[in-house]
Amino acid sequence: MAAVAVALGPGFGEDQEQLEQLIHVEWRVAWLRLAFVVGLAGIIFGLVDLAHPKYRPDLVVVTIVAACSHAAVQVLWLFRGHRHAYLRAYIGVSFDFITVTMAMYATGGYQSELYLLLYPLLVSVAMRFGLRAVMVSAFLCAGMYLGAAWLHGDPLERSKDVVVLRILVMLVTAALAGGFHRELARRLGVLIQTRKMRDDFLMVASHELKTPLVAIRGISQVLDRVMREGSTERALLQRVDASIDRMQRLIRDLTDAARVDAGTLTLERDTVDLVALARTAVDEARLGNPRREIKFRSNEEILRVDADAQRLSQVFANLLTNAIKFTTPDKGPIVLELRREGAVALATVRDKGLGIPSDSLPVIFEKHGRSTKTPAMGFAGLGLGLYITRAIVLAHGGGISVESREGEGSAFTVRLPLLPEPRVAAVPIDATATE
Amino acid sequence: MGPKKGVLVIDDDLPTLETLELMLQVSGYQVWTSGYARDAMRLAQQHRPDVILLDLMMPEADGFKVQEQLRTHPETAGIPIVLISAHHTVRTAAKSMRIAGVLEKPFHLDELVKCVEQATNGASEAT
Repeated sequence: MAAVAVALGPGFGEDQEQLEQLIHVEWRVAWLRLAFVVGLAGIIFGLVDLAHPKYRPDLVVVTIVAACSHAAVQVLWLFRGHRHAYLRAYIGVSFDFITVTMAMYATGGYQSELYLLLYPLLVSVAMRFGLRAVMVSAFLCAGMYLGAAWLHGDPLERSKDVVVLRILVMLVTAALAGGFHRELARRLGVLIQTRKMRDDFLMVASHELKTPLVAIRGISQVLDRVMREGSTERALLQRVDASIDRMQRLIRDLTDAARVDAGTLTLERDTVDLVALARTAVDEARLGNPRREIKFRSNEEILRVDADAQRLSQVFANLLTNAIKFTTPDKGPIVLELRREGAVALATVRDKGLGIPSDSLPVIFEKHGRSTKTPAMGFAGLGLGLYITRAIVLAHGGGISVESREGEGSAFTVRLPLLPEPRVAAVPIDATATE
Repeated sequence: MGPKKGVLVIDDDLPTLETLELMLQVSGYQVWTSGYARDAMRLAQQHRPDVILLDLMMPEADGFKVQEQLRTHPETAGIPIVLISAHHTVRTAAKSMRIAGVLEKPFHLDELVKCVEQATNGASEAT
């Protein structure tokens, strides 16, 4: 007579990695609490629904796998033979279909607030057509659509059995929801622990690797200070310093890549002038490569972005270093060019060097994803530079792209969202608005 | 130029500690050092340094904890503190804690001197 079905969404039962991707660390505890509260609200909603004097329950039910199973339910209703019930159910189910579909899409990110707004709204509209719908929302857990249970009332029938069954179903779904809740809490506990261990290891590893460099660098510089200008020893010391620089960059790249993997690359944002920052990057590249011609061009005086200056410098340093590394000195200058395009700043590093073979282009931003020709040519490096560069740019809400032809050179373009212009205030309101 | 400025350095890594002492002495500072976080308060009260360099990661107590202790005593509360760390992300935390500066490992001699000078100048402007 009455059927009960519980739909499980695609989220549950996925492996840890996927869970990890889906769950935003800071929000997970909050979402668990929220999901629990919403689940309770769903049950109370159902109880109130039952107590309603005009309520005439007959239970049919719903969903097998997420929203698509609604189609099957519609067919089920069709074969029950109640014309009015069919019509009403059809409308009600359609509303539910919209609700759940939107919930699924909405919670693909972490925006279940949307779902929370939509659910009462759409269900109340559905109820206007004489249908009662209950959805136990605890299946929506930690920002993921896990699944849902629906109960639909047929206004043409009244049956005690159905009332009992309905309560039973609610209890079962509540228990199920509790099970999900516990399982998720357990998995999240494991995740939190794993992530913490990894973060701790990163902190310690980077600290331990950098610490010996303090003494090497410090002593070499103290020696440099006391040695005669132009002496051989001093020239040798400069080589020590250059090697420390290289070591430091390698350690930084290793720890940065691990941070990118762990999703813990954090930015120290501030208002930064991209023009000044890029100019400094070019100056530093010139200093490190005195025999190379490196040009700086900008149509703009100032390009203000909300960014981590140190990280952005790293982006330009990486791109310039690559350009220098893959261009022989006779192939003309390397150019860093800045321009504005609407609300976006564009920075292009262009060289006329070796270029990247077309089959390597798709992988160069991946970890160790160098050009197929690189290893054979014996270029040093870990192959992490562009991987980190891309991650930094993405973290800033920007993008990076490359145009290259083998033998003709490459052009890497970084796009970053600009901060709104600080307008000269004509009216005081403007001044506060741009603050 | 007046009397030598005094710097107290607390770092549990002995080579780092000795190097910092050397670097600061070469740059014309008077230096006191200790490898133990627990000595920070005693040495600060005893010598009244112009600036304290604190390593962030130490086995007994981290740099933040030591700076909290130093802040609670009126004698040492006003001494500017520079944190030495291997991570540039410490800067955010430092911003909210009246830290005069952050030195990221490994640093150049010029950076060290600049940081110490900025810390001491900042303190004299504030008082």
